[in-house]
Amino acid sequence: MKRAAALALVLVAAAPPAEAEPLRLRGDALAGTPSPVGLLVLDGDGELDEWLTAEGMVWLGAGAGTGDRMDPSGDPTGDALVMALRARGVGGRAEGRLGRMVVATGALRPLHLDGAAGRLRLPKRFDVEAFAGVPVAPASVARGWDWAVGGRAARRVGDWGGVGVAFLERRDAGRLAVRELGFDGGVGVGRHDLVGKVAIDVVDGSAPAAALAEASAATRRGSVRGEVFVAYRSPSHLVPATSLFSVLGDVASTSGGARAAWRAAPRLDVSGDAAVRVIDGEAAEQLVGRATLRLDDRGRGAVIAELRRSGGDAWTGARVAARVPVAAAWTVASELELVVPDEPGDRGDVWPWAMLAASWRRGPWDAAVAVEAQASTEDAHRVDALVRVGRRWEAP
Amino acid sequence: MPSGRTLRLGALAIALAVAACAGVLGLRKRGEGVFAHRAHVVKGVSCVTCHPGIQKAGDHDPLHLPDEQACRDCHEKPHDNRPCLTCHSDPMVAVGAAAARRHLRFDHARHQAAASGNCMRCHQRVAEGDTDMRPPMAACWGCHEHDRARDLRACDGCHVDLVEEGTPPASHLVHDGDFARDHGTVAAASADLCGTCHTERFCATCHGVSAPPVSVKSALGDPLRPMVHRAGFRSRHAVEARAEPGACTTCHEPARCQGCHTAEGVAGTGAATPHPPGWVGLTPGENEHGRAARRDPAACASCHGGAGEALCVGCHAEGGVGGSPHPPGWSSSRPFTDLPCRLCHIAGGVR
Repeated sequence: MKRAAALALVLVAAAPPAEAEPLRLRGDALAGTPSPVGLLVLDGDGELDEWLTAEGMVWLGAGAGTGDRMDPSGDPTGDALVMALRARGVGGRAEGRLGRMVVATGALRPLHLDGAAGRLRLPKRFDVEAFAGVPVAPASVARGWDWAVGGRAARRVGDWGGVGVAFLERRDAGRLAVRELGFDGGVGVGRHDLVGKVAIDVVDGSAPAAALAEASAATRRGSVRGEVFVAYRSPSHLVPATSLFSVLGDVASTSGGARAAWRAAPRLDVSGDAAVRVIDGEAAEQLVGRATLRLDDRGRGAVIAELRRSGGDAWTGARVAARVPVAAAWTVASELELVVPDEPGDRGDVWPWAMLAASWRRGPWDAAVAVEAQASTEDAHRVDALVRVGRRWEAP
Repeated sequence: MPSGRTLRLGALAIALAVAACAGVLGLRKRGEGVFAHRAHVVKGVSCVTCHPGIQKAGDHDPLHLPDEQACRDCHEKPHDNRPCLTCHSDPMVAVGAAAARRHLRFDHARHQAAASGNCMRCHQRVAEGDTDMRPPMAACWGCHEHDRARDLRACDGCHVDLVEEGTPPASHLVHDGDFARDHGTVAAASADLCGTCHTERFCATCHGVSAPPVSVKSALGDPLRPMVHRAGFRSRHAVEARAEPGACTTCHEPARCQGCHTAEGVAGTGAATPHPPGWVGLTPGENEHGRAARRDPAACASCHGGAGEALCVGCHAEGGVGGSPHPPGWSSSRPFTDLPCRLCHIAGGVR
């Protein structure tokens, strides 16, 4: 306690007053035994002026078997994840972004885009936004004449809700891949809220049908929160319209369920999910029970226990994880998962996975090291080690 | 039936267990570490007695947290020689105050007149406990009209660097429930509001297509951080993908599967095939692939998309052994020259 109090006094004495956002740069180096893998990530952001901010994140990596973006040969490769400028003007009523960014527009699917996006906030609480650019594609499938354009018009209603309609057209190699209309809405009144969205595939010009529909309603009463949700997802929302597989896409997935969460004690949360998903006339259950115990008021240390059942010839599992601060700069963490697959194959009836980690933070430096061990259908046994070292820089 | 004595003993055991766990569960505070604001107020000690000068403090003035002398002015004979605040304070309160100083534009002096010198008008939780001194944002909005700033997402009038502060918005934007699952629905109508706290790269680490799984790897020391791909996902991903068709392609391009499967030698062209026996054959019992493709075409496309579709066309052209791939009632206004129509109707020589 004495040490913590002294640390707090140091923090208070050193606390700078609120000023403009600083320029920040952070570098992370990750290395691991799987493959092996080496990864260097640089990200930064800052306020260049009152009306202009910039953000970027680039990575450089080497190692096979880490996903489509790593060269299987192990040769170093790299790319930019985000590289964008954002400007605001006209008293905050106009906003624009330029560069590589993620565009999430109403009910439309999020799009990773090299291009421009803008938003105008009009009188009477109307908003208009538009974007255009070249969809970012993994290097292995890069094509010419890819482009996407779209927009959304929305209106906020009082203090309690809003509705919007959006449109997206995407061309891959000049050919129509996605043409979609989206409708979204949300209402929040007191302790109750209701949100929903529908995306309609209009590629073929035939009778429009929902490609995606999701809705959720929640209510809170004291320390208890209840929620019901439904979702409908057509395969046509998931594969490009130019794919042969899009003509097979007449079997949709429909799911619905309920969730309850209870703060049983100031530091103890208990929750349960129960849902049913129906595909091609077959129903499968999704059940989750979870308890989280915070070891201090701020939740720096915590223990979580979880039971999960994923039906439909899938798996049943139990998971326990803990994060415990052991000193001002050190935290240790551990996690254990046992999965019982419905169809285990020839690698045993239980797939265990365990992790032990330690992390350290002091000043601008932080680091973590972890050891993972597992046995599964892919590997009779496997042990991996991972290490990360990070540093941040700030300029006022 | 258990006897009354057994029931009483059981109830006593449960009560003792709850009492023993009360500190762990946060039902009571452990130790004597927390400062008794309430006790001081009840005894008539005004706030400025211990926080002198706070009523005139501007945004750049010191925080006016009490020092040792402020305690000793009244407590002339303390029970211990150590500094009072070593035990009688929650260090996190000071940490929270320092965070507020860095991330909020606030001037105590300008609020004195409006609050009539009543600190509790904003610091309402002083009466409830001693660990959460920062007023909720609702306390600000009780007096200030911020509708325009809210509509314009112009939070920076008061908040500085929300991205860095990283404080969960407990009072007005509650991220409760299974937010990783729900966020797309919730954020649909107000993605710009999310952007007031979250950066582009926060979204892009999942929705971006030009990066390895940075977010998963960088959180290697924190198993409690919410993630979609938690614990032994590598082992489970095949059964999870089969159980929830299309879930993967909600974020990932189908090529992401293909890249990894090719590297691991489990793609269609690799040494091993992921398909079970009876996947392709001449009888319905040997043709599980058709049903699987209808249930989850995205999974097929993850390996057989692009040029690999020719594999399908070889059997499923009109007149081929696989028959038409179109479901009953299929219609489309697209020209045969467009994709995917021309895979069969032009290139396959079928009209």
